[in-house]
Amino acid sequence: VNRSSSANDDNRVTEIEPKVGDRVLSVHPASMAIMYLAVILSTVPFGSTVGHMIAYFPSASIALVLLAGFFWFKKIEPTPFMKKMSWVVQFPLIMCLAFLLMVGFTISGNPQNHFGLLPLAAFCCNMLSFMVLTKPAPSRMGFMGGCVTVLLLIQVAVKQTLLDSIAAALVFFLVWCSMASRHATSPQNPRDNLGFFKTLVMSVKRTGLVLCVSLPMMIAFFLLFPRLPLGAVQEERPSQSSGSTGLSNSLTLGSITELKSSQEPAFRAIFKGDFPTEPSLYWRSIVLDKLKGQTWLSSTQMSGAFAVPRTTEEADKDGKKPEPPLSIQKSRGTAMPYGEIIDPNNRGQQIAVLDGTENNVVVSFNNNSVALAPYVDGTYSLRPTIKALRQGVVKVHAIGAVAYTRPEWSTLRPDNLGEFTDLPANFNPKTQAFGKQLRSKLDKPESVIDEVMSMIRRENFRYTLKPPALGQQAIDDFFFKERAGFCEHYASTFVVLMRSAGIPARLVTGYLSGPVKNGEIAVSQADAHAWAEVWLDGKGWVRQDPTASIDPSRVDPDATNARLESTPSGFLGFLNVTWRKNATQAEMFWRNTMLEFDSGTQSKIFSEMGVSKFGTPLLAAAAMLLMAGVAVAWQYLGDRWLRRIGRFGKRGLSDLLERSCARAGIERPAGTSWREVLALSERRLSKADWQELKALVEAHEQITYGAQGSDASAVKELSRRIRRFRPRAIGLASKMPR
Amino acid sequence: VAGLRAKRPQEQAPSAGLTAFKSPSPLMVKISRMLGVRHGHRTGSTLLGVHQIATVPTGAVFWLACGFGVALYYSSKFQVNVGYAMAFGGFTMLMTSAWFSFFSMRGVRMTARPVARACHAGETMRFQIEIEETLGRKRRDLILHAGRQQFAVSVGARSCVTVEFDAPTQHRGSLLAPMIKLSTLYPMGLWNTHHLWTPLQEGDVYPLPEDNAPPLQGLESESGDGGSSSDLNDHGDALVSMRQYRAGDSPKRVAWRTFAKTDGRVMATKQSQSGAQRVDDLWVDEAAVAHIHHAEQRLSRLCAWLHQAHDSGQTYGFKACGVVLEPTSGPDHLHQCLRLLAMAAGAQKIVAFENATTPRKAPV
Repeated sequence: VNRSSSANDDNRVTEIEPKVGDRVLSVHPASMAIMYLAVILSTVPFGSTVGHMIAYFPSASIALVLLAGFFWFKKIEPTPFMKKMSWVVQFPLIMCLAFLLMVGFTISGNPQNHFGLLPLAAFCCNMLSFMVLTKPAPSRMGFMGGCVTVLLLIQVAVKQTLLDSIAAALVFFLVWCSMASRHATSPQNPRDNLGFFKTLVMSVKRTGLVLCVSLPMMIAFFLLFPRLPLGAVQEERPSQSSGSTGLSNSLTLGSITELKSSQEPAFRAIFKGDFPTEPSLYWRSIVLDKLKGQTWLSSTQMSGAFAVPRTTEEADKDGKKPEPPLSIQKSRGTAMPYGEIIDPNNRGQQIAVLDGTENNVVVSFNNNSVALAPYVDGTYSLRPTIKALRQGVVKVHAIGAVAYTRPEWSTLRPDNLGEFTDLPANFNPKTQAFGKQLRSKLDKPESVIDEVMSMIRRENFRYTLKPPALGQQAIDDFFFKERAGFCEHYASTFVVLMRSAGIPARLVTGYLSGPVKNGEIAVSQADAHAWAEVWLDGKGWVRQDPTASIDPSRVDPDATNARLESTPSGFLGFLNVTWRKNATQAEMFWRNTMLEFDSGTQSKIFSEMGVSKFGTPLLAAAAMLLMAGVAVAWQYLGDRWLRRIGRFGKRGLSDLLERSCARAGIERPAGTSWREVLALSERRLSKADWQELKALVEAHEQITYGAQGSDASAVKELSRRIRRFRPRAIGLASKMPR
Repeated sequence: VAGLRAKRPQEQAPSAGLTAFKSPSPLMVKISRMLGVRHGHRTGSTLLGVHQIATVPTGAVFWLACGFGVALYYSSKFQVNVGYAMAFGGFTMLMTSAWFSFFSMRGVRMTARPVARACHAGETMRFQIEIEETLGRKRRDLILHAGRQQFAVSVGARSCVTVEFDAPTQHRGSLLAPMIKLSTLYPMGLWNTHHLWTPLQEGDVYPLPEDNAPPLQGLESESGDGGSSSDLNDHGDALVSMRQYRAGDSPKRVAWRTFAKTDGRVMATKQSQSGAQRVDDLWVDEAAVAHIHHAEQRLSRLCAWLHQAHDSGQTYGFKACGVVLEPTSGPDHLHQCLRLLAMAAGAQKIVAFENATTPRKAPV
């Protein structure tokens, strides 16, 4: 051992001098800066609802008064720099606080969610806003970290795409960096704080180190933690109130342009059995049959419970009792005459189903897969996935709701067929007149359709994603003047023409995809499409896609590449085409591996390992206990192992004897022999104890200095004897201070 | 003598920010012993292993764990896989940082060095602790707490540093080293990993030398005022000096007044000038201060005289507490004499930073 401190650069002892009125180990400014950044990043997404704050003012102000009282009662000091700093620094801080408070108000005032996540978010926002103004203490930084974690959780619960998850992970990392830099002091001079940037680097290094070491364990916990069985989730996940991309419940000319430009994946379908071989597939989603102003809406609004018990035939087939269905009472789906939207988790987003599919459909909402049984009496039953998978049905991975369709419904004549020819009188009069004129010229509905289609092909109709602006009578403008647009323009014009010609027609929105490859297909939001359906007696509803009739020479070359060349919003907009493709693939991968992981996947892992018979929860509990055991044993057995290999200081016989004697207050100062200790302790121990000590000392001398040398078994025996020796002090010695 | 004037213990700063580290209460010691933590015995050295190191969460750990718990609860409620990952990541990082903290303490050996220099009551005593690294890893961010003092310590691999700290003394006797704490917040500042240790260290605390003490008799005669009576008794006795009572001395020659005044602690035999004893040597004799009523004041006077004698460079003998130290000189001799005073009846054994009461005022 190197005893001279000058020989080793790492050796350093510095006295930490307390400054009066200031804690040396208070929070480092870098730590505060990182934490404030994390606070802002974690609360900004909640700011989208700030506009509604006024309505919730009363409840929020009560909470504020209570909190202020709490802080006053606890005598928490205000941030010292609030007094010292100039308004240039104060102003953003106060704005930050005001922003947080507004967010807190807004969320806490949400009357529908008193015990859900959103009140929690409100609480966290409110607490964080107060923390910004109070003097930071180390433990309070921990509290802020906890609040930020909860806010991050709420965000990923709403939206867990790859980008959102990465952002959340980064903010989470910031929280840890802030923790690591709380106590940063300069190693050269511990009475001073380390510099700002050095602290940043130090905290990132340390957090990275700890993260790297804990990553395998984290993955193990993630894989092994028992998950709830499929379909057991009944609570409504908080949804985003704005900014959702996807087909909406209504269609106004021009709105689909945004959708076209979105590169977000819409859904993925896996076909377990036969799959369709058509070169292009129409995935239907919403049927829009009612015109309100310029906007197409769906006519049938249905609310309430969507679940029905399983049919008795199905129960008999399984040999089990009918399971109570999962009821989604909070769902606010919109029922269509055929094709249905049910959206238990993410309201406002729909998913299409392959037109004409007869199978049951398995839909996964993020990771909660449910099977959709046939439509009976206007309701659907939802069951867990596995059974449906065993039946070999189509699996559709998607965010959002599902539409389900059966071919025979398309032949069911709607009672209200007359309503499908309704058009307001002052709605695009030129187009209506043109339609009536066509019908008077041509007798059969089929020939009217053919005429319109050939007209679109013949005349100078162009397909472009950047249509010119249209006036009040948008369809008149389009059909007679501009003649440039995309699917939405053509489909809605077609429907108006058909209706004015007396042919029942409606708009269908959904996705138009390429062929299925290897039983699998991924559809993105850029594939969104709109087409029309007309009712033909004897044939039922027949799909008509006027967009497909455009002469290919008049298709805007940009539009064919629009999927890749259009600039999507957000992060993807910064990437070039190749990287955008990669990003989309990564997003798909993320969805299929991370978000799809559920109890089914977990039980699959266990069954592959051949241990599934013990049951998932038991196995998971056993594995985690094992990990914890290893962790503790690592500490406890580590000492022994180090001692065995001689790297840890050996506890000699003399040390053991010292420890035993210390129990009775008998000490062996440095430089004293055991004989001397023996002589001094005669009066301080009982006769028996002293005799035993004497014997031990003699045995120790014999082993250490004896002529015959030490024998391993003798050493072991003596150390055992010393461990058993527990002398007790007598008389005054027992009252001596130690 | 003036240089040795004792410093009065200075008033502690009322709120110096850092709170003094106090040894745990007896109940806490019992509880920690039940938990297998073995501290409290005074030992010469301690090697930090799993039984010695306590890993205590800070408040931040509590709040963070609350946050992760909430995240876990809602993740399982809503099946949020990213939330699961975040919660497990948080928990495992908490655990890992505790391990790192533990491993940064294991294998550190602390050794108590014998107290190098005794001191007078009211001065500060210096304790020295060696901190040694045994496992070949650099240790950073160690903090040694002793009373109100804190030391940032970093030790290189297989290297050793010495930490010195001062403790105030208030009463004659001996001062025991306080319980000290070696702690670390490495790496995340979340776990207060520490070891409490009471080093086996003890230093003598000499009495406070009296201010403006009258000069020692022998010194006075040498400095020119010689020839005056060396009679220590103020009742005209022909016998001029006294020595320690030895078995066989005549009871008639025993200084019974001194005996009575000192409550029987000093039993001296009167000796005539013409006796066998040489008076060339300088003697510091307890009998000479027998007239002072207050015991501690007597010791103070003797202490001051011993310093006078030592400073004069002459050989001097010392008689007190029934012990006669033959005349000689040198610091060792001075230490022997002062030690005798320190251990005289009424000595207190005090643990540093504890039982800190103000010293009794000497009667005017």
